[in-house]
Amino acid sequence: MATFRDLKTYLERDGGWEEIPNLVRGRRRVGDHWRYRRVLPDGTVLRTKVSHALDEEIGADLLGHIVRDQLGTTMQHFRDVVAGRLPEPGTASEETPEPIPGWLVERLIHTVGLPEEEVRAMSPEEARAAWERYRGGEQ
Amino acid sequence: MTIVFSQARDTLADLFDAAVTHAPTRIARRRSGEAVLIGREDLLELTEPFAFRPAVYFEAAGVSVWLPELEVWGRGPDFESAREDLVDEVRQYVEEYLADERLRTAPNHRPHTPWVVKSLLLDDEELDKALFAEPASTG
Repeated sequence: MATFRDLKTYLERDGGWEEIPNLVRGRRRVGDHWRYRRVLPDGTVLRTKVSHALDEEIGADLLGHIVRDQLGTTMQHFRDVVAGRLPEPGTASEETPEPIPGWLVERLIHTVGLPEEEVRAMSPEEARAAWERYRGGEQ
Repeated sequence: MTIVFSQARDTLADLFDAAVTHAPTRIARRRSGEAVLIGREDLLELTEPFAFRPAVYFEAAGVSVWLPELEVWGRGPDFESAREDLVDEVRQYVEEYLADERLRTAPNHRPHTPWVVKSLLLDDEELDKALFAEPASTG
């Protein structure tokens, strides 16, 4: 597991990451994060953000996306840099399980009326089945 | 129809009226390429096929929403706050994209253009709706 402090540590140690300003002033949540960017020699721009809640743990699924899709690295490299170890190249990143689609969570909570706690406990298949049951009963 | 920049400048009011009544105009400027003046409604229609597919992860400490089309995320103690955080993050990303040519021409960000344009055209309420719209194929 990793916290936002670990993510910030990674960005400070990895090198080449610059903090970028918040461009959307006056919005409630934009200022709750620091944003960073790193430009690679081929023009690729890596971009991520760190919550001000540094001690909060980042869930495994989100961490998987941050490491793979935003930092452009592997979980092993991330952990090595955070721990201050020399990175071992070529280690595959950890797989993230299938998420529940956003539209489906929205429908189950706001259309079907299920409590968020109930939706939280569902697998993607169970969530789809609950929506299909509701749609079946509706017709 | 393509007209040159100086002519477009002189007849902008007419071109604007044409654009909002579904008659776009190609405007060419020597050495700068071409741009198109097009009505918002037409552009909204053109970006309609570019759907958002956010993934929701319920974690021990809260809820995360990953948006693969722009590779950004929102997070909060519950689904509603994560959703609000995601809307704000999309706004921040669009501002960065528009402000920085290096970002919008980066090989890993250039493919985001249709979704950036779509986000730009929508107000917050419309954007939230588009982010969590049910895919047409599931209806």
